[in-house]
Amino acid sequence: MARVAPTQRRRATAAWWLAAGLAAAVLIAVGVQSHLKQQRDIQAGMEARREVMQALRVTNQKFDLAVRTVHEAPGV
Amino acid sequence: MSIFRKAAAAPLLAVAVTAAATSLGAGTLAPGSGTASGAASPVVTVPSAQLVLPDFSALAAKAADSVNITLDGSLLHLAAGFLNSKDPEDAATLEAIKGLQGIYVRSFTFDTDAAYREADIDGVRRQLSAPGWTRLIQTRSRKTHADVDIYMMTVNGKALGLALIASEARQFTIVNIVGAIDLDKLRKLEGQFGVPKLDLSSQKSSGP
Repeated sequence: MARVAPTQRRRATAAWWLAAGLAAAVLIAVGVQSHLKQQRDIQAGMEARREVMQALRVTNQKFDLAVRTVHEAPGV
Repeated sequence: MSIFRKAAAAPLLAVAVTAAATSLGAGTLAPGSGTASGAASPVVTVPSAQLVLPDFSALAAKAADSVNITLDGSLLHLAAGFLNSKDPEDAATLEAIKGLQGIYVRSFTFDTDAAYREADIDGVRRQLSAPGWTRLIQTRSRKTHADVDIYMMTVNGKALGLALIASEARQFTIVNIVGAIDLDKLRKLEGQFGVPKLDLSSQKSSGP
């Protein structure tokens, strides 16, 4: 009986460490996943911002082209 | 037998009508939110300013430079979150895209003249002859061979979108902006992108 108690204690300690390790691994995985998603969202947002700027730039360039042509037309 | 035929044909007809409405760029509004109301018309169809842009992949392969931008409402919303309202350029951009549901740009630059055919753009031009679209500006330059057409879709005096087709010797550009566009806001962007001030107040047309 005296030999069983330390063995059970060791097993309980090992189980506790195993559970703690698993919990830590899950937390790290969730954290990394969240960080990667955040990075992807930032990249997508920055790309969308760049595209908006470029789209408006192209639009304004063509507006400018139209207005220049109007001003170059004879009698204007 | 004929009942079965009718029953089978009904969904096909519905699909065909939906497909036609989609190809024409039509949208629907719930009762009360559209231009008409009443129990007799449960769904009001209003024209959509979104054009069906052709697949220009063949031209993109030939082009020296190409711009292909497709920004729907969710992407515009996402982009707005990354614009700093304290920065003057960003603030003007924020104002310009407020109320927009989409921005679509196709622009191709070629190394040689006549690398594209007018027929490539005809499909888009045909859509702009639909009711609701009005040509604001049409310019034809013999000197630079630059033709620009700017169309605005208005329903009940409200601007629902803008389309721009610019064809030059070595470049053509199609811009389609969907939503409550405000030209004044767009004009505020002039200078922000190194583009000189424009005079859009006079809706003139030049050319032959």
